[in-house]
Amino acid sequence: MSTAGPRPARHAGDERLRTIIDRLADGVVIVSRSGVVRFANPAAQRLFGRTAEELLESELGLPTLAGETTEIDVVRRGGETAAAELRAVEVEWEGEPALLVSLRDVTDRREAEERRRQAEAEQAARRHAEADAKRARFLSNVSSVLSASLDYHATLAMLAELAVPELADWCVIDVVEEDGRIARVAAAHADGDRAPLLSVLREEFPPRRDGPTPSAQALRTGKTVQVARVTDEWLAQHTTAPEHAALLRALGSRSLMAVPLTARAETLGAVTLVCGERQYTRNDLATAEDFAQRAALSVSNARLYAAAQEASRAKSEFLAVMSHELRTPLNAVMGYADLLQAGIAGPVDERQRGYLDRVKDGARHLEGIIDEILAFSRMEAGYEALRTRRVDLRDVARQAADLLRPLARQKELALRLALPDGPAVAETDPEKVLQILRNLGTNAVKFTDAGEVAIEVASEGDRRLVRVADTGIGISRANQERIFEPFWQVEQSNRREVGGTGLGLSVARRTAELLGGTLMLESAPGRGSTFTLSLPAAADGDGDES
Amino acid sequence: MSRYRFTLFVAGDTARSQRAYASLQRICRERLGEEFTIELVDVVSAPEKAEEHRVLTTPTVVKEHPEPRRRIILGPFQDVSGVLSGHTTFLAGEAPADEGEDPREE
Repeated sequence: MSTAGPRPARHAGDERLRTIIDRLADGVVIVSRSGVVRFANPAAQRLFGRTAEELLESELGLPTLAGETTEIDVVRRGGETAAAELRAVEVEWEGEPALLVSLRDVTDRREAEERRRQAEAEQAARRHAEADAKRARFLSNVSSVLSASLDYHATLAMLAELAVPELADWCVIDVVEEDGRIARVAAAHADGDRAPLLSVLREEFPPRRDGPTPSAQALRTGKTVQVARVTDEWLAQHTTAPEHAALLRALGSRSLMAVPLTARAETLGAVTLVCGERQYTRNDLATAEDFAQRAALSVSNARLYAAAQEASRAKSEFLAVMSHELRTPLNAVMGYADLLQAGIAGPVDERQRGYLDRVKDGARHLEGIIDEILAFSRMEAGYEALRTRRVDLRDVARQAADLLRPLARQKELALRLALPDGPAVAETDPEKVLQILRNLGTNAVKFTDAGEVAIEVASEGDRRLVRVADTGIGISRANQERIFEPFWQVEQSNRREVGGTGLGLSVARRTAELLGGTLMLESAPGRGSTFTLSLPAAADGDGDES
Repeated sequence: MSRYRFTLFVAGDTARSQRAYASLQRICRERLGEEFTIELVDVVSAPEKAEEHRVLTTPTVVKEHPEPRRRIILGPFQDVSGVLSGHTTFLAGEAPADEGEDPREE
C-alpha cells in the first residue's frame, strides 16, 4: 500500500507543505472512499475551471486502480474538456482512509501526439500515393513502348530495360518462337557490371520448356510462380547445375516472380523478375501481372499482324504479276495490229483490215475482262481506295451515256438520258460511280435486242438515285439475287455468246456498298430490267456546285 | 426494468469513448449476465447533462440503480481487474464474493 507523495497538511506546522501543494503545477484532489471531494488545490481548480467551493463535496468518483497512471478527460465548466494524466494513491485524510488524486494537464502533449499521428498518417498516405503514381507511370511507359513498335523482339528488349530497376533488379524474358523453340529475347540488369552475367546465363543455361526454372514452370503451366525467399535449397532444386545456382546467386536473387505471357488463351512466353535486396509484395505481383499481360498482348498482336502482312503481301504480289503477265502480251497484240493497219509493214487490203479490226476488238474485250478480274481481286483484298468529293450525279450520268452511245448505236437501240433540272449532289467517288454505270449500261445493251436503254437521275429524300433501265429479256425473280454473285451468269450454257466474266455485277454491287450505297434490281422476264444505284446525298444537301 | 442501471459519461465519439463503452459492457456481461442497461452520455454534445450530474472527468460511470448510487472514473481497460477486484461492491452493490482472484486469467 503506497503512502508516498505529499501528505496534506493538518497542522499549522505543516504550513510549508501547504505552500508546496498550493504552488504545485499539478492538480491535487483528495477524495473520500465514497468518491466525494474533500480538498482541491489551486491547480486542480484551474484544471476543472471551478472554485474550491464548487469542487468540495462534489462527487469526483473513484479511480479504477490506485497506484497507477491513467489518461482521462477533465470536464470543465461549460462542457469543454482537457486531457489529464491521473494518478491516485491511498492516504489518510482527517483520520479517514482517502485517495490522493493528482492530475497533470497533458492537453498539449496529447495534441502534439495527435499532430504527430496525423503527420505520420499523411506521410504514409503520401508514400502510398507516390508508390501508386510510380506504378501508373511505369505501366504507362510500358504502354507507350508497346505501341511504338510492332517488332516484338525489340519491344520486349525495351520492356526488360524498363522493368529494371522499377520492378526488378534483373529481368529476363523468354518467348516460345513460332517453331516451338524457347528463346531468351530480352535480359536486363540494373547493375551494369553484372549485365554480362546474363549473357553467360543465356549461353550456358539456355531456357528449355522442360527445365526446372520458374520461367519454364510458368511457360508450362501458364501460371505465375512466386518465390518470396530464394534459399540455397530452392536454388539447388530449380537449377540444372551447381554453376547455374552460383550464377543466379552472383546475379543477386532474394525474391522472384515468373509471370507467364498469356494472350488469346495461349502462353507465348514468360517474364522472370528478380530482386536481389527486398522481398516481393502482393502489390509487386499485381504490377508484374499487369506488365506481363500487356507485353503478351503486344507479342500476340505483332504475330497476328505479321501473318496478315504476309498473306496480304502474297496477294498483292500475285495481282502485280497477273496484271503484268496478262497485259504485256495483250499490249503487243494491240500495238502490232495497229502497226499493221497503219501500213507500216506493207500495204493492207480491206479484208486484212477487217481481220485486224476483229483482232483489236478481241484484244480490247480481253483487256476489259482482265480489268474486271483485277478490280474484283483488289476489292477482295480490300485495296480499293476511294477518292470522294462533291459530285453532281447528272455529270456522271452524262459521261456514262457518252461512253455507251456507240455500243447502243451498234445494236440500233435508243439511249435515253433523263436528268432533273436541279443538281443531284452526292459526296462520292465519281470514277467508281462511272465504273458502275458503265458496267450496268454495257449489260443493258448486251441483253437488250430492241427498244431502249435509259439512264435516269433522281433525288429521294437523303438518297441520290441513278437508274439504268432496259427493255431487254429481263431476269426471273429466282435469279435476281444470284446475278450479283461472282462468276454467275443467267442461263450460262446458252447465253455464253454474250461474253464477259460474270464478275461485273458482283464488282458493281460491292463498289456501291464501298461508297455507302446500294445496288438493287427490279425486273421480270420479258419486261426489261431496272438497276437502281442509291447513294447518300452530300451532308449539306444539293447546294450549287462550286 | 433491468436490475442494474448505469450511465456512462464520455467526451466525444473517440476511440477512448468507444473502448470505455465496450469494456463496461463486457465487464457487466461477465458479472451481471443480461441484467443491466447502460445509458451513454456524451458530455461534448450534451454539456448540460454533465453539469446536471456534476461530472468532473470522463470516462466516468455512475451506477444509478440499485442503491447506493456510486460513480467511478474508468481508467485504461487493460486494467479491468481494477474495476472487478477493487470495485465489485460498486458494480453489484454487495460484498465481493471472489475478491483477490485475477479475472485476467479467465
